[in-house]
Amino acid sequence: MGEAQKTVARETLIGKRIPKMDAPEKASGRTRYLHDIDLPGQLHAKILRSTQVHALIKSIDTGAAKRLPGVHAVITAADVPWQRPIGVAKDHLPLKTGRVRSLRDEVAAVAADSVEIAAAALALIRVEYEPLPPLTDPVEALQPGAPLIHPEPHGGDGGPQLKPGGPVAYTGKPDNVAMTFEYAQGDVAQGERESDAVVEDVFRLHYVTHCCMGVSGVIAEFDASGNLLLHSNTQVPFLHKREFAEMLGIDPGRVRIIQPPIGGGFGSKLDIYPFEPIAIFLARATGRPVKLVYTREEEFEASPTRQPVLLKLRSGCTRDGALTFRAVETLHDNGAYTSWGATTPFVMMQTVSSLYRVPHCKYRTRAVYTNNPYAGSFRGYGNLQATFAVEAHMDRLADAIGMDPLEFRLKNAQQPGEVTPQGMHFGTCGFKECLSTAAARSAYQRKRLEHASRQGDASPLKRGVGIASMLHVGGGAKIYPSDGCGTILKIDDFAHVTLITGASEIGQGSETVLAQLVCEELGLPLSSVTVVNNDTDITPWDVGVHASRTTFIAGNSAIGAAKKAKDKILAAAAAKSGRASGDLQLSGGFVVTPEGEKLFELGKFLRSLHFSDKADLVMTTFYYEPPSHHQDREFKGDVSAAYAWASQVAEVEVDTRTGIVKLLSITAAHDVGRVLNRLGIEGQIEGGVVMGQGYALTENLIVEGGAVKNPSFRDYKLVTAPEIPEMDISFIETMDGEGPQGAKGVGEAPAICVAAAVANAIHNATGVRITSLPFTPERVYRALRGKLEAPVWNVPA
Amino acid sequence: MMRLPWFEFRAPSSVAEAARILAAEGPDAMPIAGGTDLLPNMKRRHQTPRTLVSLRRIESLKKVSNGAGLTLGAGLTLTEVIHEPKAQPYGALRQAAAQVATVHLRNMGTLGGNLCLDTRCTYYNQNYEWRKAIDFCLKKDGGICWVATASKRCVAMSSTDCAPALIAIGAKAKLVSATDERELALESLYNNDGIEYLKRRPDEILTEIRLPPAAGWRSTYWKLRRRGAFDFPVLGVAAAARFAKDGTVEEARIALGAVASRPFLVPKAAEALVGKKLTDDVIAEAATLAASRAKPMDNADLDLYWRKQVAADFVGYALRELRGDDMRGTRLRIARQIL
Ligand SMILES: Cc1cc2nc3c(=O)[nH]c(=O)nc-3n(C[C@H](O)[C@H](O)[C@H](O)COP(=O)(O)OP(=O)(O)OC[C@H]3O[C@@H](n4cnc5c(N)ncnc54)[C@H](O)[C@@H]3O)c2cc1C
Repeated sequence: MGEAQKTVARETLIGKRIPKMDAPEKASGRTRYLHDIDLPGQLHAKILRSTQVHALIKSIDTGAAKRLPGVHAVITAADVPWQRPIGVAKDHLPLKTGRVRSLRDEVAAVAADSVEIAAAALALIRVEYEPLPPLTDPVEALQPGAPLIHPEPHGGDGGPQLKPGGPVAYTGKPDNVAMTFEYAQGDVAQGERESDAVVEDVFRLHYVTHCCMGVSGVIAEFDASGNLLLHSNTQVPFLHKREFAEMLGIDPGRVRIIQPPIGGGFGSKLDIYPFEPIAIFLARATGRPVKLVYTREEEFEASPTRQPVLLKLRSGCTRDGALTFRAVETLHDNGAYTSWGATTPFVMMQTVSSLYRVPHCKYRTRAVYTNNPYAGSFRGYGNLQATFAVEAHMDRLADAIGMDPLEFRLKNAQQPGEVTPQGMHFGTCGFKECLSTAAARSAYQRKRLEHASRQGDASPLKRGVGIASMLHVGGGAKIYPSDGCGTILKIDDFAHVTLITGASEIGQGSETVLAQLVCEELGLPLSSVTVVNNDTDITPWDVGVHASRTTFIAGNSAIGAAKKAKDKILAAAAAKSGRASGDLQLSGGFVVTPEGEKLFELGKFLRSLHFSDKADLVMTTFYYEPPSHHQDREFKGDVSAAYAWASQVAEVEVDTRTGIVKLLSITAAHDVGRVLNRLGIEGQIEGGVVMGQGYALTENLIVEGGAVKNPSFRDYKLVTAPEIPEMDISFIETMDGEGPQGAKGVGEAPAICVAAAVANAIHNATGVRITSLPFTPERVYRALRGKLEAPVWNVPA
Repeated sequence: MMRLPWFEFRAPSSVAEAARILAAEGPDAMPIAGGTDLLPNMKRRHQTPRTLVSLRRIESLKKVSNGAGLTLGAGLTLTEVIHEPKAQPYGALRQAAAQVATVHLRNMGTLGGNLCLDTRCTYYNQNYEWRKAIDFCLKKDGGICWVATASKRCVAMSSTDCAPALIAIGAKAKLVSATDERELALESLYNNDGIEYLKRRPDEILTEIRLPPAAGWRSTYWKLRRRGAFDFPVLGVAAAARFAKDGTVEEARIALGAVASRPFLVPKAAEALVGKKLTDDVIAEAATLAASRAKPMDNADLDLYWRKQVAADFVGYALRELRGDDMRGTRLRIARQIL
């Protein structure tokens, strides 16, 4: 390097508005999703599902289907006696034997030359059923003498018996309880004695579903040596490797999963579902690649739901507004099988015990088998339900002692440094700032009084404001043996970086933010990074995309790898230039001195390392495991390395003549640690708010007698563009010490408290408290006229 | 993905040729315009025509002409209708067309297709498997009406937005076949029968809609649905009136959609307006009369009780807009757009 050049102060990428790296491909329709992939020789699979809600399978005749030209395989449970039960409770065989327990149950499957032939073959399969009494109400399922949904050992006839273990109580007994959770801190009875006001509420939450644009699907194929390759939309490739391998009785090392770009997950692709093993069985049976992609109807009918919940909440406070106790009992409709939905109480109880400071607390959940669709994980993971109840209830308590709801919340809000009785340690906590920012920016306190004073006015149009807040994990969640993520990073001769990360991209923008963090370390522009994140044979281990963890965990991992690369380059540069490596920096594609003198152009310098007698490459690895802890058997422990907070104020207009609720605005304040990609985080929050709005106002998966009645976008009412409210988004930057550049997770947060804020706003507008969702015009109309049946807690002890 | 059944596709370039094909092929052939209703229906096996006769290449069906009033070709897309300068005086039509489905569907869907739109029902507008699971229904492949199990008649609901608007405006429809041609008042194109909902014969093509002169008339359309886009009506209220200079109503028509198997006029409610000014009391009386004729069935979105409760409100909105009230706020709330 000849003359020294001066550089300007190094520009940061952090906090900038950076378009997603995959946006041009997606916006121009070039992205190749699973749907677009067709492998040579590929067959198409379809699944025959039960026509009965609950029945014994008497016989299955696949003869005619097998004879149809173009059909390559027709399989039933009898063809795969070695199949194993799947799911968290291992109560679910991919192909059903003996008994069907819901309308989505898989009875047979076909692989054929085309989807049309596969569909025609399904129509030729004859199944004889002996109907059993259906059980579609979880309260009835708990009654003594109720028909049993899993009377035989878990997994169906002849399936392996499950060993009970862990904090979760498996049934293994003759009732319909799939799982129970019980948590306690302090002494609720004492808390009740110390209360000046006690309020009890019962809430009912409904079914909703994810509605990913990219439906569920997989392409399975075996090579000549019996190695399994899956093109899959899964959110958890590394966990699935093991499950599939166990199912097939092969070494997990022989399972490779490639994820094509995924059209949304929201938790729906977090578990293994029967269609995946079924595609694998068919690939094995035919020796051909087998593609199985859901139809939209199947996606509605046979992918998981958010779990419907009946919830009783009782809590108290002193006259001056200090919470004294809280007791919550919930009943979850588990559906016919156990998926992650059953384990959402892990999250629900955190909100119950630790969103506010409550000295005495008790929580109990039972997830009960029914013949309904089964519940899976869904953005927020139980927290939408818990927060809806807790935050509506907080307003009721505030009313009971005549305190302003904001003051009441501020008084009980968590603060930095707090360790809750459940063992959560809040390092950074911007909860109070979230509350006061959302309230100030929406003029919450003034409007609340004004709107309340107009409840009696003649005008049929009423306005109201409501506030609600949420707590969610923001630094991973230690529920699996590891919550870590690995990174491999290489910088080639041209100073181009390949970031190989375990983290999955499902449309949330993780690629971009990870690339950004790496560039920030290495002083390179975003265009010099390629992210590889979709092939388990290449990428290092990661637990999967869930729990709002990717930016935090994979971000820290990427930074770790980038730092190691930087250290290596600077050490070599120091040696070459005779300066101390601590003096050198990477900036703008150069090795520079603190004065900004450009010592080496990075590409050239790397080539000099590579092609010299040093013959060295810059390639690093890093594994990040967050400093969090598993919960103990009492559900106590600091499961996340950081916690996210948010407060949102909703303003609504209620037309009391028709019951139509219009959501006018959402004022959101989120403690995100630090904004990394402003454009990305705004998109995340806007999308989350709209998802919460749908939960509050329009979305409702109608399940009657075990059947989904509205399996289409025409009848399942997602929010459309004209309904989307004004949004005012503020970021509370608490600079978390554990977070990548200070950031915390934000993936789930924005959806969580919308419904509660809307509930409180409707109450402020009309004086009427509605305790069941969604707030459809019919429901609001009836409630305003005292004709809405409120949910009651009629659950057997 | 639901798949289309096999069919033969014909694309004639004149009405005469299209009519000839329809006559030759018999009831197994169906016209297709934008296909936004027919193709989804075919995917669900509601209709499985052997031959589709596309009308999209027939230029004469895109005609707009003045005469005594306005003639609109049945092949105009809804987007073209909304933006047609000559159609601006017919407020109800523009407001109805602008609230159909979504922008994309309005760019494809035609006025003719909208007027011939199949009737709809929760138990019918489902895919084949869904319908099979309930052993089908009276409208298609089955014997029982699941909405009213005692009913011998299919109660699927007329769901076209433009028909009630055009009926209130007083439009006529022209039907052309290989052998004849006829014109009828639009309301008499419809039967109150969810299956045989049109008086159109299978060999007839709806070629044009004739609107009477708009001078002196005002018209408006209000649509009830859950969201501001996408959703079919669960109530459509169209009202048109001719006013004297002093605001007295000289002539009026009120039509309701989506509460029976056909759109229909409510003469009693319209008569209650004639010779009067639209005071709040007059509006309330007419609204009650009109709403009493709205007898929706429990076969659409939003629950029945509620739909009955709010019907009078919607008639009221329409009449207040006719009176000249500033309804933009209410519009924005109901339609999510000003219109
Ligand atoms: C998601 C969705 C939402 C929708 N929402 C609405 C809504 O809110 N309101 C509404 O009114 N409609 C709605 N529609 C239905 C449809 O899009 C419109 O009614 C559209 O105008 C139909 O016109 P088309 O040209 O596409 O009809 P096509 O599908 O081509 O035809 C419909 C029927 O009319 C017949 N036909 C068409 N043209 C003629 C002709 N010239 N002569 C004789 N018969 C003819 C066809 O044989 C067929 O039976 C919706 C559709 C979808 C998919």
